Amino acid sequence: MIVALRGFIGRRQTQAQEAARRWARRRQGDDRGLVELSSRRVYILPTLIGVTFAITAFVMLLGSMNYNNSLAFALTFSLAAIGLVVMHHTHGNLAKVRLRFGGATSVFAGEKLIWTVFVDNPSSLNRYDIALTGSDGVRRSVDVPAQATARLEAHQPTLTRGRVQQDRCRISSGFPLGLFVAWGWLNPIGSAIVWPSPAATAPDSRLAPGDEGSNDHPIGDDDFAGLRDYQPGDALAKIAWHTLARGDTLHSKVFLGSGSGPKWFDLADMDPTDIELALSQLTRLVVDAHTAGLSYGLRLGAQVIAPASGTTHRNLCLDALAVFGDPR
Amino acid sequence: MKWLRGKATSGELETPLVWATTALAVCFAPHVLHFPFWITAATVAAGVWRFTAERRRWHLPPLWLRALLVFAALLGVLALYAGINGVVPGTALLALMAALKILESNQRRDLHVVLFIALFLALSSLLREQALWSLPYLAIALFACLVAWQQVAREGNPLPVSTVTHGASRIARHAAPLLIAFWILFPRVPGAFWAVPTQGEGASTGISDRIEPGSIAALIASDAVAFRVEFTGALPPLREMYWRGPVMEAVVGRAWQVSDFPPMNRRDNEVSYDGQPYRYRMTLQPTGQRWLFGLDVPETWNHPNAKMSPTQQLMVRQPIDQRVVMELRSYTEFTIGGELSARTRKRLTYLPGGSNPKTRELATTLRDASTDEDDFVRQVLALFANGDFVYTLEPPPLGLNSMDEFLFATRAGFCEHYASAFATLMRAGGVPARLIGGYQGGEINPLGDYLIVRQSDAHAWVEIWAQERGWVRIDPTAAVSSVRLESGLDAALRSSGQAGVGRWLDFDWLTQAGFTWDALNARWDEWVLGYGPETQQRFMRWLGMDDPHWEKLAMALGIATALILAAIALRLARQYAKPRADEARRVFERVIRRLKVSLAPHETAPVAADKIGARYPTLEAEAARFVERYQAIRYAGDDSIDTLRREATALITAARSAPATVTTPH
Repeated sequence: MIVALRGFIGRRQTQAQEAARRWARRRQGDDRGLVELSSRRVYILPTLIGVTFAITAFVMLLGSMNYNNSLAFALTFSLAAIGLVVMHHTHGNLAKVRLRFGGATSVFAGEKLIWTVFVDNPSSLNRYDIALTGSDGVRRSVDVPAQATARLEAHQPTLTRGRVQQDRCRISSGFPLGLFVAWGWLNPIGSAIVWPSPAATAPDSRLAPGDEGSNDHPIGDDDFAGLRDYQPGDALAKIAWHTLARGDTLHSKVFLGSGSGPKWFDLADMDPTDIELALSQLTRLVVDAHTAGLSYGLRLGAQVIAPASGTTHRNLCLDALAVFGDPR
Repeated sequence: MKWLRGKATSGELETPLVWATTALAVCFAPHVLHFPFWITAATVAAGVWRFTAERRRWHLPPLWLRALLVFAALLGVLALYAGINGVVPGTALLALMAALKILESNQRRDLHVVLFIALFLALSSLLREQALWSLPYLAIALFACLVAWQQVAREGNPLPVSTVTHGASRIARHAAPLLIAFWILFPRVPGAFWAVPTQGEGASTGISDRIEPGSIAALIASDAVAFRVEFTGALPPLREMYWRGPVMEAVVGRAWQVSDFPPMNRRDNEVSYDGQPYRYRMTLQPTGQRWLFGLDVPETWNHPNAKMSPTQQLMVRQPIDQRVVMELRSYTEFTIGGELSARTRKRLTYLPGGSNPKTRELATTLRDASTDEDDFVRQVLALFANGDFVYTLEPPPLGLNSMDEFLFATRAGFCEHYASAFATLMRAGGVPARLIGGYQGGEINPLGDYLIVRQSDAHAWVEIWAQERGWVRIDPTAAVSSVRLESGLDAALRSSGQAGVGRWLDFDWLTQAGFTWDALNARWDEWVLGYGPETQQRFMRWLGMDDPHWEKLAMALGIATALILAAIALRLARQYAKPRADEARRVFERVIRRLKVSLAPHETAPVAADKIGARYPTLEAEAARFVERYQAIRYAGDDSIDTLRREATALITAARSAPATVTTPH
């Protein structure tokens, strides 16, 4: 019975909160560029502690009236005055901060996108305990000294690959006494690409039957052939760090053998019944190939990415995998 | 052994814990002397243990242990006070709960609760005592709580001490105007909602409802103020100042006491007034008794709950545990007449059978020897005046037949001895008599122009029912020591060769200091502690509000609160806004504009000085000084912006009358 009631109240509460957020969003629109958190969009409500405090003060008022005790009145009125004043202090501490939204670097599905928000305090008073709550529900707080900037993060959990919009986040503060919480909703317009989550194992049997024939062991350290001068674009893993450490100029290792040609990863080689699994396995291959410092290319149907190596190339491949099939 | 351990500690609460316990200690301090030692010890132990636990990362006590401790605390308080109702046991329980809350605190929320309990402890210390130092104490306690509170509510690393003290004083500064508005305007209502439990030990002070040999002498040693009186207009002479209190008509054993059930249908209470009325305002200290005092006999009074009893006592329904401020009008010339019914006469001539046989015999002898009642009274008074009776503060103790012993053996006594002996003799002689308790005289404080009546002015006198005249006051003490009434107790004791009670200090400056201190206390009592419904009404009328009932007050309070909050919001909005463009720059630009000097964007401030000098040759030196200061402020961190403003104004004013050279366009 009580559980059912609590569930009912909980659902209503969530619905009400959602409605409030939608209303706030309609009211203030999207946030782009430099956003000043104007007083109009800072909302404030007492916390549970604040309500307890109000009850405390009320009981004290009853006691003071009952005993008609002047100094007890003084204490009670002090508490009431503190409560009212602190409401304004809490609101003031948050209002008029300026926010700038940074991006988030891509992550694999299942990881958290970390959005950066810069908080500027243009005023000549320090602001304390300014907290940002991302869609993961974790509050992260920071102090922003007068005329300074602080960096906050909003973490956003991801589930699937693709281009995702930045979730709205909540900036809030309970400073100084925690009796009230002032908050504002931020609706940033950032977006980021979430890569497919790499499969646990790569299906090596299907691996890249490129031009030089099948090779499930594409490169071995034993195939080391010698050194040549470094050329821009050479993978970090191929750089001969030993020689560099000896004070020599930058060299790249050259590997000989059948695996030395570029690898091709093709969606067509994967199991067509589960496209998501296929993309996930391709991701694993790309990640592994990148780690090994290989040169590889990617074919996703009509889309072809020519073989290359390096972080930029890897990100290009992963981005392509992430948005594959996405009409956007 | 999981059941042996409670929640783990993380060390994060260390700073908030220290602050919260400090605030609790400040709020606890006034109780230390009133609590048994073990309560203080338990609280201190809890604080120290909890702090060490946080330091050493010990586990907190498990639930069963905490439940056991709560039970033990409850039991301890019950054993100590035989109940948990009332302020004193409630406070003791509160203190122990604070200790237990500290013990189990493992979240910031718990420490908030500790602070709330601390505030309750501060409140209950005010219920017990409201001295002059209570207000500064309250301010300190609140400040300590505010500082601790910020640390408890803090999410990040603990703030530096200077930051939290600044924060607390900022909150206090902003809250002060609101507090004053609330204090003055919050509608005060008379009376209590629920019966106030008496405040434990020694609740009632001053004259009690029962007088027996020695009971007033015990009061005399006290210098405490009973009430203060401020007369508007003439003061009655000191010897006519009888402050009427309880009227004792019942004799029980050795004692005279107020009848539990005074018969209401009496007709011996028709008062007629004569002579001039005296108007005065009285600030009565709480007595814990149900009667008020008034100059014998009050005609009107403005206490809402006070009623005149058939025996001319001003009675209230509930014991007086707060200061009472009221205005009265009294006549010192009056008659209380009417008719004494046979039943009442019988009651008022009653003496316990078998007691004081010698006294009764003496009364009969005297009554038989006298021609009428008046003569009887005269003879008894003459007995006191001539019978080598001594007026002393330390009379020898008396036994069961106290009046016999006093009249025939010891012959040394204080006012209650003489009063009760006189009344007993009267009753034994067939004259209805009753004992009145109260105060006699007082001390004028020249600094405050009011009368201080202390416990040491406690007095007892007698009223007898005289045919034709009704109730007549007779003060037998006057027959023994008339000095007592003329110039007070101290002089009376000195004239009888005894040491005074020490109130009349020999040093003038000490007397002066004493008067100053009392004048301060009087203002405090009247305007702060006595600020109740009556004082509020008076103050509001003085401010110009006619008919200040609670709706008007509530409205005024609402308006004042809104205005103050708006001012605070405005101030905060300005403080938290981006500062306006550099103030010095604005002043500088105003001077350039008003002196009609054109300055190109690439031209520096010294160029402006040169240009001003060229345009107004007489102002050259002034302009150079102004520009120098401007640069010092902008680039060298000088902060004499006000001087810069003054100089700018001077420059602009001077330029108006200075000869200007007309610059020709190139």
